[in-house]
Amino acid sequence: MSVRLSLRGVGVLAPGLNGWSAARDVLAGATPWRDDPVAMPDVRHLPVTERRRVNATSRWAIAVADEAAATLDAAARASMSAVFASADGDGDVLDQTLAALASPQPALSPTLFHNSVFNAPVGYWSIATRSTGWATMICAGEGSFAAVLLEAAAQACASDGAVLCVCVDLGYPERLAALHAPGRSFACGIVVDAGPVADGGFGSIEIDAAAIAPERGSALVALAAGFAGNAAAAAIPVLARIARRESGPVLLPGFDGQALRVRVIAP
Amino acid sequence: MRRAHDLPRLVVTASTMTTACGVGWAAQRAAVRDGRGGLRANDFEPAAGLETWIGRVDGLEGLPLDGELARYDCRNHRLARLAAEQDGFARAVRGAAARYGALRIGLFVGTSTSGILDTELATRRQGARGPWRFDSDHYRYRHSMAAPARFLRELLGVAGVSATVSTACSSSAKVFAMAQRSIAAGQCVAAVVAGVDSLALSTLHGFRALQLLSKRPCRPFGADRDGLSIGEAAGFALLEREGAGAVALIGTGESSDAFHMSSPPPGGDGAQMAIRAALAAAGLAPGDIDYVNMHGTGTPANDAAEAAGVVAVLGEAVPCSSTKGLTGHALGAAGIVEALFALDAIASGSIPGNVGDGTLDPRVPCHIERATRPHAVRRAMSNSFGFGGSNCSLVFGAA
Repeated sequence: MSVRLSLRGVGVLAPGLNGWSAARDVLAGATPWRDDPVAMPDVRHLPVTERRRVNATSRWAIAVADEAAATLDAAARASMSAVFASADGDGDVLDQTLAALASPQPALSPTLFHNSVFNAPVGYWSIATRSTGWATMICAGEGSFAAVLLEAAAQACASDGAVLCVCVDLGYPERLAALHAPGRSFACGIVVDAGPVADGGFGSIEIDAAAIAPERGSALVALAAGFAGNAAAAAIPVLARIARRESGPVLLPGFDGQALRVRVIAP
Repeated sequence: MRRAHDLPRLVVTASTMTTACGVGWAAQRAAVRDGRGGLRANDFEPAAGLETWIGRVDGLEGLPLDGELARYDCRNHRLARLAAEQDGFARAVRGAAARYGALRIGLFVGTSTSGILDTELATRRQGARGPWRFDSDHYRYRHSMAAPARFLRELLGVAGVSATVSTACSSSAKVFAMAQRSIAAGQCVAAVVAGVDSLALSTLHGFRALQLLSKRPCRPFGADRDGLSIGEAAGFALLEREGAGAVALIGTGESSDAFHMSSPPPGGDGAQMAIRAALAAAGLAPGDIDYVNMHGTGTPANDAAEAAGVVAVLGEAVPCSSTKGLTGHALGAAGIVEALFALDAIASGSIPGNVGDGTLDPRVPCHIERATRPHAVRRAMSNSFGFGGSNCSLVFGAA
């Protein structure tokens, strides 16, 4: 059963992809990508206590969530549900946690423990936006972006209203290089719903779980070379079609070598 | 408020769990019957010196994964395999895979820390400064959040839509909701839902940092409750639209506190929203619930907020209990463990008693059942609340 979801908003943050309006030409292929660093996003709408504590992964997630939801009216934002995903969680928090636990007197700070929960990004986002609805945080390794789309499709079928999808994976610190090295940081957000496509909007995306096939997904998807190893960057071919206003299929990496076929439909 | 559409009720056609009470269903039922759980003074060597009680599963140290599963070997996956092989669960899943095709069976597993203990021990052996060395398989097959889903797909032979849900202590309650949506949307025809979390230094020291670890066995809703006891557990259920099974999942409700990362609002507002949403999804009135398995961790603030939330929606009369006095708080596995206790209240016609020494807190307004007793339970609710303000309520009914 395939589901067609209307795209209501898009957000992106990565080196050389600093927000949707700045990144659109790069993703469309009109401007070459440059590895320009991006500043750590501020999160002014978080209460002071949380703002002092919030970790990097949550900041990036909130930044792309805000950008993706900016096109919605207040009522649509208030009833929005949220699916966040990350393949790798927060490497800096992991690094600090492991070091603290390996010390002769192991101890964690409350802030470090708060930030070590995998769902910290969606937790901080809900506090920042006062969103009390349905929200979750999932992981499917290199298939995490595909998993977010599947869950968003299921949520859009299960109830009315928009669904915010966020996928975020940041680079890991050097000390953890032997554990995992996701490369450059990448975060993206899209807002979808099951309503009709809007004129002049972002178009739509068709998701067909029946197209999950035991194929080698990683060989089929050309990740932008600069973001190789970053699971969230699996979104790049989808964002590129949205940016180019071009319809066509994208084969996304699914779970462990499987693939999910989606189709971007231009407005 | 979002309007929810009708979702299919799903029969639980197979289930099992392994907790500090023992391995498989028989051990859990005996613990409930006798009101005698598996908590013990901390004897977990990696956390030696930490004054607390734990719900430890015996024997995992002697059960390494070998052969084709060797690359997955870590405490969390040893626990997952031990649990999955009880009560005919793995066999039931293989049967479903033969009927439907492995690609049409989804798998959703909740965990809060995956295999992090083995990473913690590896770095501790090497010293705090690093850089640390790891086996090349370590991240993918043992440490990462996707690892439990990867392992269970291989162990159980399912290959449909799959994900790990990691929303702290609501993780393996939310897998039921995710599976129900996925089946309703036609992404899979049946689903394995699971939860697995094992003892880890980060959670033991993390809860200590928040001063939420009791130095005695946890006392949910007790007058002198002063914190939780961390446990480890794995639970499994197979959900199908039709099939042999006494109990069905009939409604789920999820909400966010949007309040604080680790404390609920005092009135349990988030809990109320989740409970109301679950009732609405099940098409039930508040009076239709015969038993509530509470999140009931034993921390002063959480128990008070949950009780306020439950009473605000369901009233003061409905029988309630926490089973964390038996199992400890199994964190990412708590949701499914307690969903299964709620399910068994229906199947066995009895309400589990709220285990915990001492007197109940007179300020707790809900009706806490002290001892296990026979009672016809047609519909049971299970509540789970996690850090990040993540709330989930599940409703089960006779199939």
